[in-house]
Amino acid sequence: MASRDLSALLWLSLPLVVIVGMSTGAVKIPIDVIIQHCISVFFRSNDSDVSSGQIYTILFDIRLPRLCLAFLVGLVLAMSGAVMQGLFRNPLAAPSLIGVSSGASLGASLVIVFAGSWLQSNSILGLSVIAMGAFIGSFFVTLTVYSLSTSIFGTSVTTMLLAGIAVSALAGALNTWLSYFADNEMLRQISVWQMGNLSTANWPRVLIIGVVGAFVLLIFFRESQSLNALLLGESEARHLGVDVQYVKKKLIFLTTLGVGSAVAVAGMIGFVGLVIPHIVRSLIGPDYKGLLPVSGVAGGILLLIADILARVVFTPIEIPTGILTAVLGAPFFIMLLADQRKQI
Amino acid sequence: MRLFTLFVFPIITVGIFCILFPATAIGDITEVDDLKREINLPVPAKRFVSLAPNITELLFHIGAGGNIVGADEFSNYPDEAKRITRVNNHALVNYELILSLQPDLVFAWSSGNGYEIVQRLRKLGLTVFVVEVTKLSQIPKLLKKLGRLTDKTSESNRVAASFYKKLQSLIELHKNKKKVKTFYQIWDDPIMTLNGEHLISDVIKICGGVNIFATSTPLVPRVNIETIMKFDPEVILSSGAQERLVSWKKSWSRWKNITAVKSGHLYLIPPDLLQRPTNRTLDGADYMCKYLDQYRAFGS
Repeated sequence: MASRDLSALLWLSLPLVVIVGMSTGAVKIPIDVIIQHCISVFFRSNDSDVSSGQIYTILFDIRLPRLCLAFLVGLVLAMSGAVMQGLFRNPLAAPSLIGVSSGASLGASLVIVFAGSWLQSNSILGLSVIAMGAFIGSFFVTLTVYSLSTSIFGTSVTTMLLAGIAVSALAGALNTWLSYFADNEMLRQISVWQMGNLSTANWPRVLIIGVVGAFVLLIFFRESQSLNALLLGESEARHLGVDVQYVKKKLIFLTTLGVGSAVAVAGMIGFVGLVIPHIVRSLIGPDYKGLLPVSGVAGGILLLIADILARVVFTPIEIPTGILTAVLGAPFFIMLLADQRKQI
Repeated sequence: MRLFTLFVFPIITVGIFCILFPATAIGDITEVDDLKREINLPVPAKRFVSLAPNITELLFHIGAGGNIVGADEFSNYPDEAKRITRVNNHALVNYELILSLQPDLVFAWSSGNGYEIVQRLRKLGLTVFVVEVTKLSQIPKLLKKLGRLTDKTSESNRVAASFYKKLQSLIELHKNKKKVKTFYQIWDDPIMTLNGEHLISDVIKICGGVNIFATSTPLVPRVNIETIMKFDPEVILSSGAQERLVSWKKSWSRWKNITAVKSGHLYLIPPDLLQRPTNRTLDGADYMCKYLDQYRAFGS
């Protein structure tokens, strides 16, 4: 399938998914009501009946920020995964491999166990202090992994993978140690946090991930040529005129920034970053010029669908979104693997 | 003849009784635990282990707390309970320590400790009495059983009777009042609540409230704000210290469409009163009923 076709298909299905997401939920909202509300918002009519109504609140304060958050988080995770796999030339590379996820868990657990409850109940820019802890934790752990594997000869990818495993294990052990000595309340908080959660989406969070996402996306695109060159190997890329060390440093920093913010606003959501780039690569080929944007949109749509199902399937209750990303993505991935085997 | 009626007849009667009901022979105690298993003790227990904080609390309440030789890490009420040797927490049980304490009875909480732990303890030769309480009305009966097992019958009967009396008066007081749609929040991010199987939901019912998520599964479901908006609770409750009230209310203030938010009926119940099924649950119920009454007074 050509990159353009798949891209067009995904972009066309996006508004469809968004409309379904806006109209389904505990309260069913027919499409004409949605359109009517959109028009009144768009033309800024001061119809106070509309803007104070329950439907308005559900559409624009609950569902829309949640849909935006799901899409943006999925986009950032999938693109970061694609970049990681290119950078490490390793199909298993995912942000979690260099310690982003375990760092985020550790940061969050540290805040939960050691910060006072006053600190926890307050928020900065719509983000809880726990989320900030997660962000700082992911940065700190990735930085450690990076500096361990960087010498005067540059950053060794192999060392970075190994260091990532070692430091992640250490962070994981610390995390287990913290949860073992945590009291009842803290324990519940740690486990709930690790499940990933989009239900408390708000506009400030969308803004954070939107700004970070746009920044990361822009630079990823500019580096897609270097990423293509890196696929040939590091020395080949160097001969093609790529400043390999600089590109590596920049991309590692950006993926950490992207995934760290995604984790901070939505908790741990696995699977999207690892599998979406593989699925897209097997459909349209390894050219990063197409792979990056298509992976991004596909990741966003997967998380959107997963999150809509998470709140609709067992209504009135919700199930953790992470369950559904795996349930939706894994069978598709297995199907692709089986197909490839036939071709060989 | 007189000799026969005075001595022989009673002896024969007692003899026949003993043959017919051997388990109830003098000094032998049989109680059925909450998982319907018969627990036999030759004599009332003198040394026991409590694997859950609610059981520790109940044992202290009937005056048997002094004989607890081992308890779980979270047994913190009353203060004396903090000094008991710790034998388990949420993740691990120190079987060796429990055996070395030589208890003649172990109290376990089925859904909290897990049934495997109960089985393991029984395999080790210990007598285990399993407690499982989901309704307030089960507590008086449980108190009496605990009393018989620990030789505190009179104290436990007294405590059970007063619990029963207070519970009945609460039920009586609230049963004809206007039903109040109630949302009980146990977590804020994501929002989590509890269903009708939970003890707290039973307290809501006793106070004349209706838990809006009573029919949902699992026991502690995640819910979202628009579902809450749809069910439109009239009172929102949670547990916590009063210092939290301002920030907690502020976090709800965004959702003006919910009746409870619009009319300001958001209340915090002091922690520990409702979380554990004990005699203190009635104090928690007092708070709950008071808050629902405040809404009714506002509505009328």
